[in-house]
Amino acid sequence: MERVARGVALGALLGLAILAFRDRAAPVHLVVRMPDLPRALIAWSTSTAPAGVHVRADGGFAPFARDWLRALAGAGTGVTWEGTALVPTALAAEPVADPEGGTSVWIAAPAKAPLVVEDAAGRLDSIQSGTGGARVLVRSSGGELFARSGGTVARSAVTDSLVLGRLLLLGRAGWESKFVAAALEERGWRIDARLRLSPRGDVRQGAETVIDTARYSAVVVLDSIGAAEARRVAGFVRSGGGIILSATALRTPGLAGLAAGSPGSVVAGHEPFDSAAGEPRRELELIPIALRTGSVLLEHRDRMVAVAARRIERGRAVTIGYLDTWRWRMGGGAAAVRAHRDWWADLVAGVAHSGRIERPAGGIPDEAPLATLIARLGPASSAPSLPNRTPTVSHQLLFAILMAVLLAEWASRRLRGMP
Amino acid sequence: MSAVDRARNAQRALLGTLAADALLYAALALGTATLLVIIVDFLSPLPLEVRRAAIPLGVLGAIVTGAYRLWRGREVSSLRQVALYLEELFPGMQYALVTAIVPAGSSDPVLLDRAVEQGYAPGALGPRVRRALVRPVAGLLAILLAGMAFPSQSVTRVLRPRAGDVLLAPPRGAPPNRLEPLVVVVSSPAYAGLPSETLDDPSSVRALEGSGLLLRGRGAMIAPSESLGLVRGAGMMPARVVGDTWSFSLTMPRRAEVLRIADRGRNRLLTLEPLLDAPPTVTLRSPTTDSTYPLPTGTLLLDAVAGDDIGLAALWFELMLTTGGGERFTTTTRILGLASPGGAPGAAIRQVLRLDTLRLLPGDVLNLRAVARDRNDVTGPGEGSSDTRTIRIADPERRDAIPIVPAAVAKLDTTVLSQRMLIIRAETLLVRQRRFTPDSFRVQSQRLGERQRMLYDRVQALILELETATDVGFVGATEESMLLRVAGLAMRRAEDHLVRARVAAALPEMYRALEALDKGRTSRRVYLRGMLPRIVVDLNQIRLTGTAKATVSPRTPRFALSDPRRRLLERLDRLLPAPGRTAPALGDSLTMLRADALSDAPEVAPPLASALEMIRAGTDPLPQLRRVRRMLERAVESVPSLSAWRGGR
Amino acid sequence: MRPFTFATGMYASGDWESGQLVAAVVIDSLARHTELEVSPAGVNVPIDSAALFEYPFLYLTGHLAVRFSAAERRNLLRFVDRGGFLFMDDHNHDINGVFHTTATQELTALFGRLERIPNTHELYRAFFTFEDGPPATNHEMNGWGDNLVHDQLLGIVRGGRIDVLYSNKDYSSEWSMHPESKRFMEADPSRFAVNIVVYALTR
Repeated sequence: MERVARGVALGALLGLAILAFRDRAAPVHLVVRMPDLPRALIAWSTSTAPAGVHVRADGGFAPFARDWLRALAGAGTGVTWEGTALVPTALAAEPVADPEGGTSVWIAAPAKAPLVVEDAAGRLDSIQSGTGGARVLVRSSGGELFARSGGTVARSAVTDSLVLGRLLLLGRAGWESKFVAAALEERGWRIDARLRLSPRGDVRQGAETVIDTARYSAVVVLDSIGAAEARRVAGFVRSGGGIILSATALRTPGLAGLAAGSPGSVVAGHEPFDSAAGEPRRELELIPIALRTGSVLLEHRDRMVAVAARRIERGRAVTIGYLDTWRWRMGGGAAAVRAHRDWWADLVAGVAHSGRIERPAGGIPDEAPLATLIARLGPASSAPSLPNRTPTVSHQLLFAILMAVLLAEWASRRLRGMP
Repeated sequence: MSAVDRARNAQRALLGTLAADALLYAALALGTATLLVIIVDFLSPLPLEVRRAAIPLGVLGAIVTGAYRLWRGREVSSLRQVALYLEELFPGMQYALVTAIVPAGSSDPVLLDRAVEQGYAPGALGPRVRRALVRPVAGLLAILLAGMAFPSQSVTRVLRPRAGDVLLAPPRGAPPNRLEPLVVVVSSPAYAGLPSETLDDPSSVRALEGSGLLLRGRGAMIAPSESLGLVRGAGMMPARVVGDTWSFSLTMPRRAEVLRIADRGRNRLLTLEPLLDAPPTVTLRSPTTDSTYPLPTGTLLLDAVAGDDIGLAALWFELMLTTGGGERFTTTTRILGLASPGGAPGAAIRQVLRLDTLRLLPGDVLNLRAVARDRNDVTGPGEGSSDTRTIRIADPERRDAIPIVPAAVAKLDTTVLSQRMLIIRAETLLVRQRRFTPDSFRVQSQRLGERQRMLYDRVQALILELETATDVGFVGATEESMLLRVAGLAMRRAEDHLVRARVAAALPEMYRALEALDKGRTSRRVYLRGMLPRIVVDLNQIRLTGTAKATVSPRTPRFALSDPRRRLLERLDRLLPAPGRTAPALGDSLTMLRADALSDAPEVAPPLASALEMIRAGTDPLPQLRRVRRMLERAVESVPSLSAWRGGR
Repeated sequence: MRPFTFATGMYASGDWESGQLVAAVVIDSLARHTELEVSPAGVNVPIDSAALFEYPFLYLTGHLAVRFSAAERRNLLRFVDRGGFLFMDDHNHDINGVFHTTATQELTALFGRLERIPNTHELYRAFFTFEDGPPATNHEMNGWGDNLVHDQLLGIVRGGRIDVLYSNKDYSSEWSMHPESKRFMEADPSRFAVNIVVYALTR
C-alpha cells in the first residue's frame, strides 16, 4: 500500500507541475469590477499583462483608467467593458458676457435624466433633463464644473476671461431709458447714451464716436432713431456687434430688418403693478412679435412671442416686445430691482460682442466622458466567453491528494513500527 | 463608683471620641478633595464651572464620610456593647462589668463593683481614645502643609472661584504668552442698568454700543510693555500697566470690528459685536382715524402705549395746532400727558382732550401723535413716535369733500346677487354630478366658468372706476377697491377650477369672492378733500413754442453697485479650498470675515462662528464653509432644455 | 411707451392739495421746450397706495405739518430705493416753519441727513442753465414782507445722484397759476421745473 501511496503522490506532484506550466503558457482573461481596477492596472502594468480584460463599471470611468486601458489595449491586451449606469452626458461651459461674471453651462443628456451640477465647493443644483438636456447659469465664475448623471461625471473648467466693450443706449429721454441705463450701469456696464430730448439738445453720455465693435459690445435701442443712425447700427451688427431692440424701435425703417419678427398690436397688462405677481412680466404691456424664419423664441406669454432672437451675419439681435419694463422695477416688490437688472443683463449678455482671452485650464477637462470612452475603447459589450479547455482538476484538489497520500504512507510505516 | 457608673462614663468618653473622629474624617475628606482639585487645576486650569462645583461636592463627600464613621461606631450607643468592649480591653475584670450591667441569676453587686474596680482603673481608656484620633489629625496637617506648597492664587482659584480669575492660573508656555489668558470686563452704559460682566478668554464680545470694555492680561513684567499693543485700523494703542497686569480700555463701537492684540510676534484677535439700542415703538390706540369735526366741541380720548428694548425715559402726547389760511399759517405745539416711566420697558398714557379748551376756529388743523424717548444717553436718546391723527375743523367756506363715484354702489349690488346665483348653480351641479356623463359635466362646469369670467370683468371695471376719478385726476386704491381686488383674485381662481371641471375646488373660491364683495358694499367710502378739477394742457398747440435758450449738460454715469455680499463671497472663495493652509491662519481670516458679515450678511455669521469652533476643536470646517458659501451665493438658474440660442439665458 | 405723468402726492396729515395748479404749469413748460412725451394733465395719487409706483416722479407740497403714517413712510422708502424721484417743496414763505421743520424731520428719519445741493450741481445745467443755482422766486425778489431768501436746495444724494430734492423756496406758489397766464410774463417762471423733470428722467 505504501508503494501505491507513493505512486499516487508522485502522480499528484506531476499534475501540479503540468498545471503550473500550462497556466503560465496559456493566455489569461480577467473580469474586473471598477473598484478593483486601479490596483489591477498597476499589477498588469508591472508584471505580465493578461490576454484580455473585461471591465464592469458600476459607476463612472475615471479618465486616467480609461487612458490606461487604452494604452494596455495598444500593448496587445484585449479590452472590453460594460456599464449599465453610464449615461451619455456632455458638458460645455462658457463665461458670460457680463461685468459681474458668471458661467453658462449646457448639459446634453437623455430626456428625464436626473442631473446634478457641482463645482469644487459642492452641489450647485439638481435638475431633471428636458428634451436634449438642460442649461444652468452659475452667477459666480471660475473653477471646475461637474455634471453628474447616473454614473457619468462630465467635467469642464472655465478659465477664459472676456474683454467687454461699452454699451450704446439710443432712444428718447424717458422712464424706460432712465431705468434701463440704471440697471445696466449698476450691473457694471459702461454706457454711452444718446437720448432725444429737444431740438435744443439731446442728453448725451460718452464720446461721440463711430459705432463699431472696437468700442461697443452691443447697442440698445429703445425708441425710433434717425435713418442715418439706423444704418450705422445695422452695419455694426453685421460686423459682429449685438443689438437689443425694443418693439417701439421697430418703427424705424432701418431697424425693422434687424428684428426677430414683426410687431403686433399692444396687449394690455395690469395696473397698478401687482408686486406679488408670480410672473411679474405678465403685468407689463406687450407688443407680440410674429417670428420670422430663423428666429429663436426666448420668452413667450401665453401663445404670444415676447422676446425673440436671431443671428444677422456675424452679429446677434434680440427683440423685446415688453413695454415699460421700468414698471417691473418700480412696482415689482423687494426683489424686483435685482430681477429687472438681471433680466436686462442676461439679454445683453446673449448678444454682446466680446474679446476672449484664452487661458490654460486648471484641471483636466472631460466634457463628454462616455463618448470619449467609446472612442478610446470601443462600444460597450458583454463579457467575452473564455476559450474551451479540457476539464481539469484544480490545484487545491491535487495538493490535498498529495498531502493525504503522503500522510497515509507515513502512517502506515509508523503503524508497522518503521521510522 | 459603681460598675454601671464606670461603664456609663466610659460610654460617654467613647461617644465623644466617635463624634470627634467623624468630624475629623469629614474634614479630611473635604481637604483631600480640595487638594486634588488644586493639584489638577495647577497642572491644567479647570473651567470656572468645575471649580465652582468643587467645594460643594467636597462638602457632600465630607458629610458622607462623617456619616460613614458614625455608622461604623454605632455600637457605642449600647451600654452592653461598651461593657463587652471594656472586658476585652481589661480582661482582669473577668466579666464582672458585663454581669453588673446584664445581671444573670443572683449576683452580689458589691462583689461585682470590687471586681470592676480592680480590673478597670479610672483613666485607663484615655490613651486609647487619644490614639484613635491621631491618624485623622495627622492627615489634616499633611493636607494643610501640602496646600501651603501651592501658590496662593491656585488655592484662591479653588476656594473662591470667580469670573476673571483665569489670570491667577499658572502661566503656560516658554516664553510665557502674555496674550493668554485674557479677561474682558464689560460695563454696560449706566442708562441700561445692567450689571458688569466678566468674560474669561473670549474670542468675541457682545455688548451694547457704547459699553465700556476693559481688556486685562498678566505678565506685564515679563517683557517691555512697549511691545504690547492693541491694533485698531491703522492705529496702535499702548497698554496700561499696573504691577504685573496690563490692560486696554475702549468703548464698544457701532459697527462690528476685529481687534488685534499684538505682543512680540504673537497676535490675538477679539471680535466686537455691538448690540444696537433700538428706539421705542409707540402705538396710538385712540383716536383710531383722522376726523373732520363740524364744530370745535366735544372730547377726544387720547390713549397710547410704548415699549423699548432697554427702558423708557418719557412718553407724551404731542399736539400741533395750525391755524390760518391762504399763505399765512401759525403753528403752536403742546405736550400733554407727560409720563416718566423711570426705565420701565413699557408704559401707557391716557388723556381726555376737550376741544373747546383749544379755542379752535373753522379751518384749523390738529396733528396729534404720541412720542416716547428712551434713556440712551450714550448714542441717543432714541425717540419713537406713533402714527399721526389729523383732526380738522370744517370750514363752511371751503368745498365739501367729494365721495368717490357713488354710482358704483348699484353695480356692486348686482354683482353680489349674480355671484350668489352662480354659487347656487355650482352647488347644484356638484350635487347632481352623478347624473351627468363626464363630458357633459365638464361642459356645464365650463359654462359656469364663463359666467364667473364675466363677473370678474365687471368687478375689474368697478375697480377702475373706484381707483380713478379722472375729473379731479385721482388715482389710487381705496378700502373698497382693495376688497374688490380680493374678490377678483378669488374669481379668477374659481374660473380656473371651473374650466377644468373642478367644481368642488371652485366653490371655496367663489365663497371667498362673495365674502369680499359683501365687505366691499359696507366699507368706508373715500372722500376727496378740496380737489379741483384738473387742467388739461393742449400739448399740440404749445409744443416747442418756447424760445428760451437751453444747453443740455451731459449725463454722468451711475456707479456699478458694490454688493457687500459679493465681496464676502470673493473673500471666502480665496479661503477655500486651501489644502495645507494652517489652521490658525484660516481661523484668523474667518474671524475677520465674520466681523464684516455681522453687518453685511448677518445670517452667515452664526455658521461662520460654528466653522471657527470646528477649527478650534480640530475638526474639518470645509463642509460648514461650503454651506456659508451657498448662503452667500445667489441661486443658480436652471432651465430643463437646451436652447438653440447660445445666449445668456 | 408711457408718457411722463406729473404726480402730486396725497398724504394724510397736512394740506397736500395746496399745489394743484402746479401740475399744469410744469406740463406746459415741458411741452413748450422739449419733445418729451407728457401726459396732458397731472394725477393725484395717495402715497400709501400701490399706484404710487406707476409714477416715478412725485411732487409733495403743503403749508401744514407733515407727519407720514407708517404705510406712507414704507411706500416712500421703497419708492426712492427703487429709483423714484421725490420733489418736495415748502409752500410757505418762512424759515423753520411747521412744514419745513416736520418735512425735513420726516425725510431725515427716512433717508438720512439732508445735504445742501451745491449751486454748481448738474441739476442747474440739466436743460436750462442757472448760473447762480436755484432761481429766486418772485416772492423772494419782491420781498414778500419777510426778505427771506433760501440760497440752496437740500436733498438726499446717493452715488452723486439726487434721489430726493427738497426746496423751501416756495416754488409751489411761484408755479401756482393757470398756464395761460404765462403769456403775460416776460420769462417762463417755471423753467427750473424743466430742469428738475429732465434730471429725474435722465439720471
